[in-house]
Amino acid sequence: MRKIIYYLMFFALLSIVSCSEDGPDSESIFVDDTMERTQFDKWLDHYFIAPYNIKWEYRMLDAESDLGYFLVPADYLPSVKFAIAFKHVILEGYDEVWGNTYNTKAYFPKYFYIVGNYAYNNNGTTVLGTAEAGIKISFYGVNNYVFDNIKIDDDYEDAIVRRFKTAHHEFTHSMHQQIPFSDDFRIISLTDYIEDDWNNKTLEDALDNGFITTYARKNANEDFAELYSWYVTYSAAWWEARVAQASDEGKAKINQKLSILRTYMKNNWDLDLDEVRNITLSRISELNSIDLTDIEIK
Amino acid sequence: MKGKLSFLVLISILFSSCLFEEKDIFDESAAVRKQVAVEEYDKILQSAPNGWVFDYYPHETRPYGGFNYLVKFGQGDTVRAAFEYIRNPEMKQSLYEILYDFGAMLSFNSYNQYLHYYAEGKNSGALYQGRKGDYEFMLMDYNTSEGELKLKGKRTTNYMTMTKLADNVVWDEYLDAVNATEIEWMFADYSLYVDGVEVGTASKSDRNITFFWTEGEEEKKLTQALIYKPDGVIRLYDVVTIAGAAVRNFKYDPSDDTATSTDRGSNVVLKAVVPDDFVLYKDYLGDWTIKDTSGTSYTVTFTEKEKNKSFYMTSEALPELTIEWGWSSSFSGKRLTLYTQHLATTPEGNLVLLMPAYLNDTGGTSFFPSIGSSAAYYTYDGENTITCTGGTTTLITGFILYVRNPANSANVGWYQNPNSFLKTSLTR
Repeated sequence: MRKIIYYLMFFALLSIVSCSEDGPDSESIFVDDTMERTQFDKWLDHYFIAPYNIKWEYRMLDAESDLGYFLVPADYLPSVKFAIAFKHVILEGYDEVWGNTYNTKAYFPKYFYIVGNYAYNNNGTTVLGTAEAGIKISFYGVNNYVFDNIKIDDDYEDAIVRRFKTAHHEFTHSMHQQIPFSDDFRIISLTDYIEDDWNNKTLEDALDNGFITTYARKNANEDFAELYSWYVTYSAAWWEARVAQASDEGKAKINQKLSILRTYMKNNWDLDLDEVRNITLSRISELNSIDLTDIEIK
Repeated sequence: MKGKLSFLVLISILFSSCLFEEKDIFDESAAVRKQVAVEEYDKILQSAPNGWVFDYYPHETRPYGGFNYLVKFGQGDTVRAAFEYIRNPEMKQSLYEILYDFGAMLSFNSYNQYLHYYAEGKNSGALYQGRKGDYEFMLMDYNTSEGELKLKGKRTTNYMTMTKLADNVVWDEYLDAVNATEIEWMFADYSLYVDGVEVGTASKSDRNITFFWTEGEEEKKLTQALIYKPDGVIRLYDVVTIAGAAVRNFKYDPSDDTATSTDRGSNVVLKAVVPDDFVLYKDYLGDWTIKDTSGTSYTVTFTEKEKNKSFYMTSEALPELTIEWGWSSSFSGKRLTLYTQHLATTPEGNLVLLMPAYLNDTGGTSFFPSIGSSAAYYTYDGENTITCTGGTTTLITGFILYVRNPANSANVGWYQNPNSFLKTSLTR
């Protein structure tokens, strides 16, 4: 009898496990988007995604943006012009510095979010761009960018040259988030970082305290990124004139920090500051002879 | 005992050997269903060969009221738009996309000067949040027989509609008709009648209307945003119920300045309260006498250009010139505006301009040459005299006719006599 019971129990067990087939569906749940693609989308696939794995999101989704602001999408043409200029100066610039595309692909931020207007605050300040975790970079105000007669050292708000500075700046964050810079840098201005109060300070005050811009006073990371990005985007003459305005103490601090930055970039990223600058400047000066609307795939 | 045990085992067999089958509620996977919804709405949007009328309400509290856009969705994610508020012969083209976010969502996701007009934060204190409009809309429902698509603004949560535009409607004419309705509804205050009985008042301020009435002992007040439609019609954002009458649409009859509800089963009438001192557009029509600066009198004739908006002025003294005057219901209808205008071109290619002007301290004539922006204002006393009362500057006392070279803006000289009408009036 006991045997029979076990026998029956075995069948009972079998009936549980064998009862129905519930395997995975043969069809993928991921459905290809059937929305139509513009010529610019195809161009981006070819020149941004394939070589660099970079997404240039020019068709803004409000939900992806900062809902605290009333942001609008970028106009098509400025998005195209900006992408072409960005590729020429920044992406291919780093390729030229490193002598390969691999490093740019490996280290450069991956997600660029292109927004039509600037983000305006009710206190009258304007946000030009943001970086999130070294991955997603938003450029605001693209519809205002000026692409005609591009000159090196332009540093007004709508100047396209300022965007290259922003790109270098955000790239710096991406780099130091992967390999931190030494505390020697932090210590130099340790007591002079003032977080959001930077907005109430003058450039003169920043320079005298050893900062290249007012924003560099925010914290050591911003200081580091500002130092690098202004150094490599603007000419040697511009840099010297800027530093010359500082007090002796300010000058000494800037140069001390610059020296640490220089070593960090060379040792960790194989980047020579002067070489990055030379290449950036010569590529900016080439922009006027490039058709910034040509999105034919060659 | 053993019997009990085998009984239990039998039961366990009976209950465990069933076929487990959980029926799917939907035939397709969620991703497929989303994609189907997206494609379905895209087909609907593209199914209007002459586009859609989009009744758009910016801002969550709708203080600006509603605005008509005409939009046409085409191949390659393109959308073309025209806009009641900025009239421009050129339509604006940009991109759109239908995405899935708690349902199908329409996003105008590349910049369009018209479609993002109310959404764009500006670099000017008050408009740093723009006008809090949407450019992303949840697609709620499509009524095939009415050709009406219901949408809901993502930020504002305002309900809006897109209605298929008949094939024979010319876009510009539709928007002209909307603009004409706005001009027709020129009065702010109305008496309110329900089923022929006066129950209260209504007050229209820009594109919102507030109804005040009494129901029994109770004082009622209700404000609703509105949108102008062709043929003198205004449509409220939502149905309002006034003393039991549910209404949403009113049609204006300029012959007696009365608007009547057109909604089935309700009879609500708004009778314009015309201010005592109001001067009507038609009061300007006909002949006037104007003196030039030297005191010579000429007869001029005002005729209708665009009703309730502008006049032509002609004179036998200068038969080849037609001068345009602007009128609006502001200032109780008493103000006429005379903009700098290009009246004719001489055989040499120079421009004959009418310009607001005044006699300056040195005895010369100062004038204002920006076409369409410099202006002289004339005020009607409501009886028999229209007098220049300033303009772009308060110094302006009238207008002159002058010839300028368009190539270098050089002053060529006075136009033939009469050509100066300063410190003068028009009289009946």
